[in-house]
This record gives sequence, C-alpha cells and structure tokens, in this order.
Amino acid sequence: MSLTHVGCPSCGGTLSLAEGQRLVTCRYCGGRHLALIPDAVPRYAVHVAVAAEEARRIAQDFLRRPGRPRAVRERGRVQDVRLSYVPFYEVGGTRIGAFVLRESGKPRPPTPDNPDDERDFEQWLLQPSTETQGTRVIEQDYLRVGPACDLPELGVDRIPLEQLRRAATPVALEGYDLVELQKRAVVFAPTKPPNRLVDERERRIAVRGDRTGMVERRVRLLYYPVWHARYEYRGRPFEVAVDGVQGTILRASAPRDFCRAVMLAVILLAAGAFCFGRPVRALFSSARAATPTDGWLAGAWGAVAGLVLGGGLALFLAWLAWTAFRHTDDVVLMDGDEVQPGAEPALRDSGERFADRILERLLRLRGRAGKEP
Amino acid sequence: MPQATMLPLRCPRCGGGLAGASHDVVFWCEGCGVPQEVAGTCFAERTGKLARPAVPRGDEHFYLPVWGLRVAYVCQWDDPEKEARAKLLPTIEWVYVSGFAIHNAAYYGDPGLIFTERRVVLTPRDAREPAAVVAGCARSQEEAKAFVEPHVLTIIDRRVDVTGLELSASVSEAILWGVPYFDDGETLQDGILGLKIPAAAITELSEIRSCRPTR
Repeated sequence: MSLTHVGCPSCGGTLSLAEGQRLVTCRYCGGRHLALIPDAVPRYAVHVAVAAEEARRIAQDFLRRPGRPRAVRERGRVQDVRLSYVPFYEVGGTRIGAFVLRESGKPRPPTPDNPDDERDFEQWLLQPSTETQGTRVIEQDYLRVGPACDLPELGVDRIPLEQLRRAATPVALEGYDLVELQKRAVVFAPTKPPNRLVDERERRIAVRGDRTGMVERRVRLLYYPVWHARYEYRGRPFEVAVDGVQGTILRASAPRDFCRAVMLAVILLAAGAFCFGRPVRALFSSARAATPTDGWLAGAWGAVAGLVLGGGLALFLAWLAWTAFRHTDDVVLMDGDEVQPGAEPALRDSGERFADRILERLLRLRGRAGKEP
Repeated sequence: MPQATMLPLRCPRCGGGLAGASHDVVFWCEGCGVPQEVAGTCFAERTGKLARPAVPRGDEHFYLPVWGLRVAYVCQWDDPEKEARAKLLPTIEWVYVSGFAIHNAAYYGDPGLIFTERRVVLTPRDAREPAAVVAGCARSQEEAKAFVEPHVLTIIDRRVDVTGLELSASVSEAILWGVPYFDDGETLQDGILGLKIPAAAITELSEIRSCRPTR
C-alpha cells in the first residue's frame, strides 16, 4: 500500500494519505483536512451483500453437484474463504442540450377492404413521404464500466458490474478506505488505464443541429467484492470464486472425474488401433501373398514397422493423455444451476493454452535440434 | 501520486468544523451553518438554508443538498402559434438542481428537475427543530448552473415543441437548500413532494448514514 506523507497545515505533524483518500484527520492536533490532488480518481467499494458463511455454503454446494468425483462430493470441504476486491473503471457523464431530429414517413396506410379503399391504397403508395423536423431535449446519463485489470489473472472471467449498475436497483456503493479494506480483504490495484472507456465516451456521430454537450465527465474506480473459497483434493488446491454481491459462482475449478478420463483414453486408443492397424495389416499381407520367398521378410519388416509406428502412436497418445490429465482441473463456469463444460470461455482458454503448450514444445525441440553440432 | 494540497476543514467565517463526505465540493459549517465551497485552494462562501418538510413525519430525517437558482429567461420563437401556446405556461422562477451525486438520475427521476417542473417554493425550517445530518454537496454552483437551460427547455418541451426556440437564461440568485429526506432503508422519501428514490442510487449514502447530526 502506497502512502503519501504531507505536513499538517495546522500543527506541522505528518499526515499519511492512502491512495484514493481525500479526507484525513491529523493524529496530533485532531484537525480534519481535505486533500486536493489534481486528477485524482474517486474510489468506492461495492457493498458486500454475501457474507463469508454464505459464500462458504455456496462453494460447498458446488462441490456436491453431479460431475465432481465421488470423493469430492462426499468428503470435499471448503477450508478457507477469503475476500478480494477487483477494480473497475466507471466512466460517466451527462449529455445535456437539444438536437434536431429529422424523420421522414407517411401516414398509416388505408386497409383495402373494398374497391374504393384499394384506390386510396394505390394513392397512398404513390404519395411521397413527408419529412418532419423536431427538436429533442435530452438530459441523459452516460455510463460504461470496464475492468481496470486482467480478470483471468485474478481468478475470475467476467463480472457483470455494468449490468448491475444499470439495473433497476443499482448496487450500493460505500466509501473507500484502503486501510480498513485491507484489514479484511485483498485489494487489487488497477493495472490498466481507463483510456479506452474515456475515448468511447467522447466519441459521437456528428449530426446537424446538435447543440448537446457532455457535462460532469467523471471517472471512478469501483472495487467489486469476490469471495475465493479454497479446498484440496489429493493434495492439490482448487478454488471457487463466488460473487460477493449476487452470490453466484463466477469461476470454479474442480478435479475431473478419473473414470471418465480413463474411458476417454480407452476409446481413443481403440479408435487409433482400428484406423491404423487394419490398413497396415492389409498392406503387408498383400506383399507376402505376391512373393512367397520375400513374404517372411516383408512380414518381419511389417511387424517391426507396425511395432514402431504403433508404439509411437501409443506413446503419443499416452503423452497426450498425460498432458491433458496431469492437471486434472476442469474449469467450469456456472450459470445458475447449469454446468456446461466446454461451452464457457474459461475452458476454451484452457484448450488454447494446451495447443500453445504443444506448439511451444515442438518449437523447443526444433530449436534444440538446430543447436546440435 | 501527484503533490497534494491540504485544505483545513475549518470555516473561514467562524472557525467551526466543516462537515461533508469524501468527494464533496461544498461543506456545511457545523458552527454557523453556512455552506463553504472549495474554490481552488480556499473556500468560497455560499448561501444555504435548510428547508422545512412540507410532508411532516414523526421519524428522523437528514438533509440532502439541492441548488435553488432564481432565473430570468427570455424565449424567442420563430413560430407565433408556438409562442402563443408557450405564453400560457406558468413562468419558472426557481430552477432546482440536485447537489448530491445520484446515479442514473434520468432513470430514477432527478429530484431537481421534478421540483422545478412542479414549481416548488421551499421555505426555511424553524431554528428550534432538532439537529439532523446535513450532507455536503457533490456539485458545485457553476456545475449546477449548466443545468438551468436544459431544465427549462425540458419543461417547455413537454408542452410545446421547442424547434426554433432561442432561449437565454440568467441566474440572479443561488441558494443551496438542504432538502429533508426520510430514510426508509431501501428507499428515501423527500419531505417536500413525498417522492421516493432508491437508496442505492445515492452514491455517498453510506457516508451520510454514518455521520452524526450537526444542525
């Protein structure tokens, strides 16, 4: 935590200002002071609506859900629940003024029930559309919310803060006191600038007769509460991130069911053997039949080649299985009660990471081969 | 962190303490009751009054700031028919602009705009009334003045199409009113018109609730 030390204007004592703090009381003279810091971003903490025990219960329920290994379902216990605050930028302003709105259109078409009406309808079709011009007065709030850091690095993928701020009942904000917050939570610092959101606010399609302007441009930092529940399975730690406002699961990792993994490996091996074994056997048996003297050799070479290729394939599949199941965590994003493995971005990310790992290893092998004398 | 300038929260008039939330720009003096606005690196005095509840309730209330701006405006219409219709509208004498930070005011109903539209006339409260919390103001007087013309235009536009209207308004007097609000937990009800706004829409509410009564 960075503190700024300034002299008290009343007694000369040292005042310690935490980041985002604007009101400070001198511990020597008791005087209250206002810190005027140019371009300071006001900070607020989003009210924690889910208590620690509630977050623990939500995480515990997650472990009980189908799809988790039996041992986790029956004996899994959340060991630790910790609160963290994730920073978000809220960029806003109020657009006020008037603009001219031109609309072109026709009156409602007559309904052709009888022949006379049909003539009216034809006339209506030929009638040119008329342009109307009106002035609209607006006093409209602009609001955009975006994360101030990389969310996946903090153990969550997506936090619906913008929807919550736009909702009929917005989330309540509290004063930001970094010292107090750090006593009970991990407060992440913003790592990204708000430039993109600020640029979006200023962007506007130029229209004729626009006499509107943005007033009270503001940038705020909102700290969103997330509970991190931790549990262990076979000595490995796993984590469930629980939304501190809505009580939903934002992201959770759990061990994959080992039986399913084995079944998948067996199916893959069987499919590989079926697809690869039959053509090789057919190729070498036809060679043996054509030249009986060379048939034995062809058969021996065929057996060796089959062994090498088959063994290579088996080794590759074993390596693939080892890489995939060595870290047996299955990242699952929860949407209500639905568990949809494979459909959520987190899992796609892990797939991409897996592909990246393969590519990285291949390049490393190539590099090693290139370096050899 | 850039260099911070420290401003003692002391009233330049009487030396009393100034009360307000972290991100306020106008603070009320706990001694003389005069609002002091941060202007550069010093305080500028503003006129402030606490309004008497028109809808009295027995329970405790606190005061939220609303700027009352006495305006004189001139309308120039290019359409005589519209001008004639507009003349039938009662003149707006006071434009009210909410001084507290309200989230998505256009959606929840901006109390300032509603007070202006209903032509509310606030009266100062009796000095013998018990002390209550008076919240500081997050919007400066100059920032409030930016809303005068849009508020007047919005109100006229609800009755007459304002196409071709040239409006010029001037502010002759500015008063920072403390408007009584009753805290019902989930909602806040104002003591003037009895309108309700969600408590969560008031950005500084948690700080206001934690304050002790000053005036």
